[in-house]
Amino acid sequence: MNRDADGAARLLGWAVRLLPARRQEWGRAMQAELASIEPGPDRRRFAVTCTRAALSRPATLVRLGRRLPVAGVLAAAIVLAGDIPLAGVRREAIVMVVVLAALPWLARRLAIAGPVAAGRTARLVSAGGLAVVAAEVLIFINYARRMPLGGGEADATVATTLIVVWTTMLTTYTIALVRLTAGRSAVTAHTLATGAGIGVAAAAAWLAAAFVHPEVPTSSGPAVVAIAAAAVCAGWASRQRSGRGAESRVAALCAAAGTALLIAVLIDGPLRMLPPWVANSAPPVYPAETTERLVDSIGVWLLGCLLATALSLAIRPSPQPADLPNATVSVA
Amino acid sequence: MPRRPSRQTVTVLTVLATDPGRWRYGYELGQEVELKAGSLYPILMRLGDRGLLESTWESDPPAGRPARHLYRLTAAGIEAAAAAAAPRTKPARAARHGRPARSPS
Repeated sequence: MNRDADGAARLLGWAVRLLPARRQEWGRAMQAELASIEPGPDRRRFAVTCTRAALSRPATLVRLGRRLPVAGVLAAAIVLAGDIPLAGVRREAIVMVVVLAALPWLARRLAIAGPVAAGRTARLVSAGGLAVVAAEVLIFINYARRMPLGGGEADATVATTLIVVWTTMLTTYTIALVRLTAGRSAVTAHTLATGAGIGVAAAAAWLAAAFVHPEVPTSSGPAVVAIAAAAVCAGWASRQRSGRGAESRVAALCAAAGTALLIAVLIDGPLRMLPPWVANSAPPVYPAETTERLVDSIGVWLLGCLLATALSLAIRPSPQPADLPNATVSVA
Repeated sequence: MPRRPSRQTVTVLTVLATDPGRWRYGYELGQEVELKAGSLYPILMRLGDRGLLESTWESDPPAGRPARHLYRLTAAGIEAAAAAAAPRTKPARAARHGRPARSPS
């Protein structure tokens, strides 16, 4: 067996990749040493103890801790998808989960985005946004496994269409998010905080209104008002601070897209589990006056995707770090 | 006051100090000090961080094997090894515990 590709080498290679940049040389040292040890118990012991040493470094534990939620969501989504009755639809749902899980990683390694910015604001917005997207993936897969799929071609076509539409929409949001929070983006920490903060506040206001007036989520109107209000407030607040039209546009689009995303996820997930609401697709419930039928979230999703696309296009790369003293990031 | 190194660190320092000019590689050193790689490498990392150990990559490895990482003590490392090898005195130990040393009876 090729010693560079045996289990010991693979195990150590995996552990070394988790080491922080300043310890990578030590990882390469361990790998070089392993390469000179003949196959057998010594080689396995060397790889296992080196892996233990690498994994017990505090920085490695932190990096590992960041990956666990992603692995958990991925595992949960794949387990849920396993319950989808039609094999073809099940495969498509798993592909959707894998594509969306790999997308942020891939986008950050390609010219689409670049690594996440070093600032706390960018990391928080990135983690929060991806968590909301992951929640929607779980909600969607859970919905797909309960779809009344009779095995007919028409049912499979409907399910496939839904999977393609949701994958496209969530891809749009994910790309906007990784571009917004990328190290090479010229978006300042203040713009990011303003856009994301006002987006969350507008969605929270919409939710509070829904609890007071349960008919609020039964139409797209109040959601559109919340999205528009978020855009206006964030644009105004950003312009007050930066005086730059481009920053103001990004803040407005970030707030609006964020509000749309949160409201759509609330309609798709938590609200349909709470009284007095029922899902748009639920069978008729009598007496009708005791329940409120939630609006189909597709309108909010499509509006949000348009806003997320506009946001992606509005983000410019940072030209010169020195020109942007308040930038969250410098050119990577 | 700097912390006294662990027994394992003292062993590594002592072995490296026996021939301070010689470059050693990790696996060989681990066998010499009877430490598993998982214990040895963190010690080497700490010694490197403190400027007690210098490292380099093997310049001319044989064909089919990647270059090894080699280690030897710096001048500060040699001093630290000598200090670590010196026996601990009772007054120093007592002072660390905040009480006067007992005089031998």
